Amino acid sequence: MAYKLRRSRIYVPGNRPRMLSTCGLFGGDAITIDLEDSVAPDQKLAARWLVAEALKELDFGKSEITVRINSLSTPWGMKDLEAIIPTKRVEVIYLPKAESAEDIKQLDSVLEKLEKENDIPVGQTKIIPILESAKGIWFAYDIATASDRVVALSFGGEDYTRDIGGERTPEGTELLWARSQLVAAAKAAGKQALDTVHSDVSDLEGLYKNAVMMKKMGFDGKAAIHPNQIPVIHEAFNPTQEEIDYALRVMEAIEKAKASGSGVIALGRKMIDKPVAEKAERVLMIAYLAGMIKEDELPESIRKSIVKEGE
Amino acid sequence: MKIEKEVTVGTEEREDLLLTLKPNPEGGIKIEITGKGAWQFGDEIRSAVESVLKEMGVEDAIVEIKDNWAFDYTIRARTRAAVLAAMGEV
Repeated sequence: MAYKLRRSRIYVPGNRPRMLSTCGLFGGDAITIDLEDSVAPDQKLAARWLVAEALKELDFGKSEITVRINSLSTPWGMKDLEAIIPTKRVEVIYLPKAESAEDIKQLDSVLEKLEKENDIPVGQTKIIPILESAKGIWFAYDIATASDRVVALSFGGEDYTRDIGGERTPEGTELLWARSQLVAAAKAAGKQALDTVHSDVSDLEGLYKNAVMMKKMGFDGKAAIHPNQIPVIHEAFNPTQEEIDYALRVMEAIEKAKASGSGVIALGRKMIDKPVAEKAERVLMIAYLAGMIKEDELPESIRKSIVKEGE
Repeated sequence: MKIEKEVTVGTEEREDLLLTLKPNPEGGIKIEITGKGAWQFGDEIRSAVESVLKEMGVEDAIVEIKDNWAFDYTIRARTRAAVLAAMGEV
């Protein structure tokens, strides 16, 4: 199983040179350079070209390079793509306010055109739609399956709450159905699910509790708006030692059953069915990618599926 | 190309620069550099600005820069954005 670690991504305002030049050191699984909400309308042009030049020049460490563009229904979205795609550095486009399969198909065809014009393999640039309205959440599955480029669905909680006429609460009850719907739609489509930001940057304890709950709900990661949030999010989304130990025992039981030709796989008195086996594989892959276990500690079946950089 | 409209881009934040692009009634390119990095990197800043103006075909303009230790990519980006803004792009 190919698995991309997307526990954390940190938003970096696109018009702040000092943040652009340091964000590679933050250690996030991804950097999301923002051309949308953190950039005022009269700064869109300046931010777009600053980001384009930064992409050509800067080292962003091991973080996946992603850019949140302006919606294609604004005067800026298309120009954003025309400036940043030719740099050949953008791995993922975050599309804000995605509300329909058509939104994704439109972005898909623009990306295809720009990839062809710039000698980039067609399909290389991935899409993560941000669902932040009632309509976006309602059409989550259509959005997730609108293009092979879509690798995850991301949730925008602040705008969603405003859109439904609700109110943000510390416990997040107003977001519960939207989050559940987003996770189910993403997983039904075989994609990852990424949660919204925790706006109170001083509340790391609250962030941790929330992120642990989001992991339990099926999310694969969560957005950050401050570097201090990254290690907290990683700790929450990393498998626990108990989860790793259990996954190793599951995989061992599977390999033993295969070796003995037994069709029934059991661990103690518990049957191991397909979802349990798949979860064990995922847990071990995340643990490996997060540096919690070494490659030689992995079962052979998982070791074989690791795609090394440059392969 | 002549610059016909005055525009300012960038900020005074660290690693950035404030760049004002103006029409030059006398013709030609005139670049004035002040700010923190000016004494040390004035020549590099000038050369980065000139290369972008040349690439974009700008022949008449005054460029005023207040630098706060901007990197090369920021200087190029701010210059390009200023020219495009003067041409009316958003």
